[in-house]
Amino acid sequence: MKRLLYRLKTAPYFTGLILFLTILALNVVIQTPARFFSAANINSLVAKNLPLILITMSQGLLMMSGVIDFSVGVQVSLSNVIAIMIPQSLGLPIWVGWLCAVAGCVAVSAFNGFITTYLRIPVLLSCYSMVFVVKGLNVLIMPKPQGSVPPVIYKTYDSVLLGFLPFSALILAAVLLFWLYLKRTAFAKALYATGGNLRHAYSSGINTSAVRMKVYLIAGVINGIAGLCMTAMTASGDPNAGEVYGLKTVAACILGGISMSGGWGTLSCALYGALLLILTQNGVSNLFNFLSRAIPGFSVTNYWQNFASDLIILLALILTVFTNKAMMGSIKKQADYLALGGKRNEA
Amino acid sequence: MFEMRSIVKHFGSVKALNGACLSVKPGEIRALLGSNGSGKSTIVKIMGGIVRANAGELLMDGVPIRIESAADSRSFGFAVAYQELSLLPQMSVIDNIMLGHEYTRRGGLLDEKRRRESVRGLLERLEIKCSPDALVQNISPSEQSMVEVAKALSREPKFLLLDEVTASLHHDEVESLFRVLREEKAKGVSILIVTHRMNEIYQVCDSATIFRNGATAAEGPMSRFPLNEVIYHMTGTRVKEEAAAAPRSTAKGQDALLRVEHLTMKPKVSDISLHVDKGEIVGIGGLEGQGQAEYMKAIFGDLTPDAGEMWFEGRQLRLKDTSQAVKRGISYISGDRTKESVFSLRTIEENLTAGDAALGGVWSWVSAKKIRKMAGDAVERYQIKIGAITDSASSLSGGNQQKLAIARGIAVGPKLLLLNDPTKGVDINSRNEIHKILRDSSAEGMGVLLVSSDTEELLGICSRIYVFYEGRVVAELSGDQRTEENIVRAMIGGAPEGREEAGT
Amino acid sequence: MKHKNFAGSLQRFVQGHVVFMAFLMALAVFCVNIILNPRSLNRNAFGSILALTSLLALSGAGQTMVVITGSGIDLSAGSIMSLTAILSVQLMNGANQHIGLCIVISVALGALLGLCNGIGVTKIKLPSMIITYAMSNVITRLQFIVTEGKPTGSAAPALSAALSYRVLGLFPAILFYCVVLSVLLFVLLRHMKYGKRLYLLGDSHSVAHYTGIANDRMVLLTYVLAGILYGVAGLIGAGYFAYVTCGMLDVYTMRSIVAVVIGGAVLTGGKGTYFGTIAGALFMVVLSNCLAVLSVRDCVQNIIMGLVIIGVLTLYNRDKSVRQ
Repeated sequence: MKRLLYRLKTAPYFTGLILFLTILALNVVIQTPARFFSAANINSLVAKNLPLILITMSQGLLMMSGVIDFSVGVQVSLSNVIAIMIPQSLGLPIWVGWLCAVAGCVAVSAFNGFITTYLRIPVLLSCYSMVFVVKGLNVLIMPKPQGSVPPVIYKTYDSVLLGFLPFSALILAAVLLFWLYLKRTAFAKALYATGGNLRHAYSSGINTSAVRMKVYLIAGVINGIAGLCMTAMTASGDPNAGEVYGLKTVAACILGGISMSGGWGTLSCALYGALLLILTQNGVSNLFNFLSRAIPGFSVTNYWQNFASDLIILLALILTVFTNKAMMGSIKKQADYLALGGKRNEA
Repeated sequence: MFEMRSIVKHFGSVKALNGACLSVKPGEIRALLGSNGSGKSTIVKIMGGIVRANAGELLMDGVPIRIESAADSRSFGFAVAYQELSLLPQMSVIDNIMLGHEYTRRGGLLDEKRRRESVRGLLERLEIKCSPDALVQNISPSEQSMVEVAKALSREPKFLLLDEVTASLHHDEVESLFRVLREEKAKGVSILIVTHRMNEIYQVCDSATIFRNGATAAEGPMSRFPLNEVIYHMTGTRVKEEAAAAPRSTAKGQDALLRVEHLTMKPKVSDISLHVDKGEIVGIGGLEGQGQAEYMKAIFGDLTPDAGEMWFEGRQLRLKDTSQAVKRGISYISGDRTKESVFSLRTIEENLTAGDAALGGVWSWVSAKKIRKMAGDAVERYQIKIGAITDSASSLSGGNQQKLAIARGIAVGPKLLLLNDPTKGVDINSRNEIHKILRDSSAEGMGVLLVSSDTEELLGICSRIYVFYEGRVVAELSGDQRTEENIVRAMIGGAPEGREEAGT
Repeated sequence: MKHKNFAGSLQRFVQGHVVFMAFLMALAVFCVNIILNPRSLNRNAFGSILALTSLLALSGAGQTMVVITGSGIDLSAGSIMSLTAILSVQLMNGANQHIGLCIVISVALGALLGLCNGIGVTKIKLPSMIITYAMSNVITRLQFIVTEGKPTGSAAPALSAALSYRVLGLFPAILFYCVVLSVLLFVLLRHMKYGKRLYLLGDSHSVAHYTGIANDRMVLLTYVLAGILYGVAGLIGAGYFAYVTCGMLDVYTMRSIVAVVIGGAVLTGGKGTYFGTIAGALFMVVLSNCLAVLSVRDCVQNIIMGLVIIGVLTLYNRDKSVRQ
């Protein structure tokens, strides 16, 4: 137990996990454990928010390698509109449309990677310009929300396997498994090094541009998949739905403990960060429902709920500064302890 | 056999290398010597593939080669331990050492066991005591330097290049490093060492190349280069044997401008007291990294000491911020131009008047005319060689940039000037001019506290010299005690005999 | 070889005269516009270009200062503008008697929100992008709470008149405020110690620190000033458009950042002028006006806009290569 606690305190996701557990506990209390942990509730939480979780992860990957991409949000919409429009207007089979959707996101990400790593345009500006471009593309492809998907797709997406396992969670698990593999390859080390200090990574013989390009490509694939999830979830297309996600994912990554300057964090940081956002919103809305039931005459508009959850997120962002400090402190302590000849993870 | 011929490299208008040549034979340890700023680091970086030469030839066994990237450099068998280190502070020691040449198993997975064993072996061989799992940001600076060497060694290079890695090493660490270097040399590895510590060179090096102003001044076996000869080639002038005319301070202890008592700041500074009188130039000597910089920064209000008291002009000095120090009449100039002393994007004029801009209310008016005059006067008075006064500061040569910084510090008329190695990487002429500026200013009553790793500089202008060693003062020298021998002995911690060659 | 030299000297020239280049590009786009559609050369179009440029330049004033500090970008610019615009319009409610109060409220609110941003950046030490983004979310939510989603009222007639009046039938009065502000900022940045310090610390926080500049206080002050400028810009925006919706001026966040950068500032700080920002604003407005006049669809406009920004940045805002 002590060992576990110690490991936790020195993990990059410490910040994200602490904040996530706090908000999870609040959610459970408000909603009562039985209702919160019911398969239906979990399923709806994951299924409804999977696109956000996935693009937060791709943003996390990018941030770990030292870049940022606001255009992940519009890329989700891009994938969404391509997946709908190719079968609808060209009459091609659905799977072709879906492949093209992912390919479209990969192409956008690759272009974005090209202008940041090879043209060396400051990353904030390049991805902002890309938001414009992709937003325009989306509307060009699909002028207004429309379209539909076969019922089998959204029914599968919403289904709960074996009575407890949401289908959408499987997709999430697949991405996480991919990261678990990636983390144990030389590429991950090169990724962290590139994010940590470009010059130092380069002088260690790493082709930093190629590493960044690869990260962009992986992010493109994940964004494409996120767009497909969005398609399956909404069962239609909307060219403008994704834009708000762009900056949200950056905040989620920070909440999870990924460093803005790169080279620090893991993908579980992004997961906890995204879940934190989702549960905050969920918890606040449930709390207000509960209050309006408990206190007669208490009624507020949705606006108050949004305000409350954004305020909580602002406070949580401020808290990350302190939890990160605590984590770095424990890592330092561990290093000092190890230097004295102690064994790993025992204190 | 690797050879570099007539290498040229500019950084903007600054010429770092101008026809430098260098060669290394297999199984040889070669020293690359030269004063600061003579282009040693640049040529090492060209070999490492992180700087592109503007002109010149590289020959490997007589065959011309091109190094286009750091990865190229590695494939030719080079491995570099950089002075400013190429480590990633947020990654573990293992990850850092193995970075760029990982052991992998089937499916691209890392072979954790082999990585760990190989790193453990290296750490043991170099006698580095840190844990392989510790993050590099959490190990001591000297361990970091050793890890940097381990990282280079782990690549099993044909050419090992060490750029001033010994600067922050302790005595026993240097010993184990040299043992490993001799072993590598026996295996036929060519080694190039850049260092300022002369005694080390005589211990391990077979031959030397000496740079001056970006060009090769001399080359040959170590036996050809006794210390005098090395200094001659580095500076281009014979050392004159005249005793430094003792610049004596007229004032005595009672009107101390600055009095520091028992200043302690763990782990760098322990219990150091000193005083500076009005119109006196006081020197602080010692090898790099013995706590001098931290001490100065504590006086300047940049770092907060753990214990100790400071008195300035008879009043207690308790600073929360550097801006308060400047308001009280204390200026700080450092030799670290990029980080601490020169605003490279801004113009020469703005640099010269930055000290003035830092004083006074934020809303106070700045007259363009007055600023122009102030800057013009400073340029003239301190003979700074500039193009136009509205050029950016990065257009100046290193020596002139440094004069710029010092002129800025003096322009606000401080009562005390703190100088942290101000002539680092500055050519001999500018250095003499800077010294003259300091002498003139101190004659007008300004107190100067000067940290320098250059013994000659300390002897030349300081009336009293404190020598730091591992965060303590090991000697306070004034009057006749101010000799090079005394300083050097104190610098190496009053080391035992056998290391005397350092001073000769 | 010769070709390379030419490209090199062209790049040097462009990088040395960024403000000039931005004006030149704006002029070029405007000429293209006239050639393609001669009818667009009329008083009305010209006046609206000037008016929109002025508004963008006003909103870019605070952003310019924040970018110069080198502590990042301010993503709350647009939301602060929207908030003060909404509050002013509600308060004025089509009558003139509360104009003075509105000015006071806009300034005070801008200062307060800027102070929050500044504290987040300097004391709590969050990345400026993150803290200002989170702040902007909260501010936007506040707008919805205050107005219940449907802002009512309209700007005071006097204010609207003072902003949309056309001098000589051509120059919009809002241009006058922009000119006044640019003179003020010129004095502030060039002739006051504040400006001198701002550029110095933007160049290098650490060198400024060792020169004795109190960086944190300066950055804090800059965010407060920027907040005030956004507040005032919001009020002016409300007066100019005469009606408001929640989050109406939010687009000015990103637009102002792009204008600042096209005007020659770098996001790492220490470089940039307000004249540059005005030039950048002019370029943006002329470009989007040109696209609108050519009756290009909105979405294609966006695509072209994005690609043009990338092109312009490639010309003069590239990072240094890893290899020297």
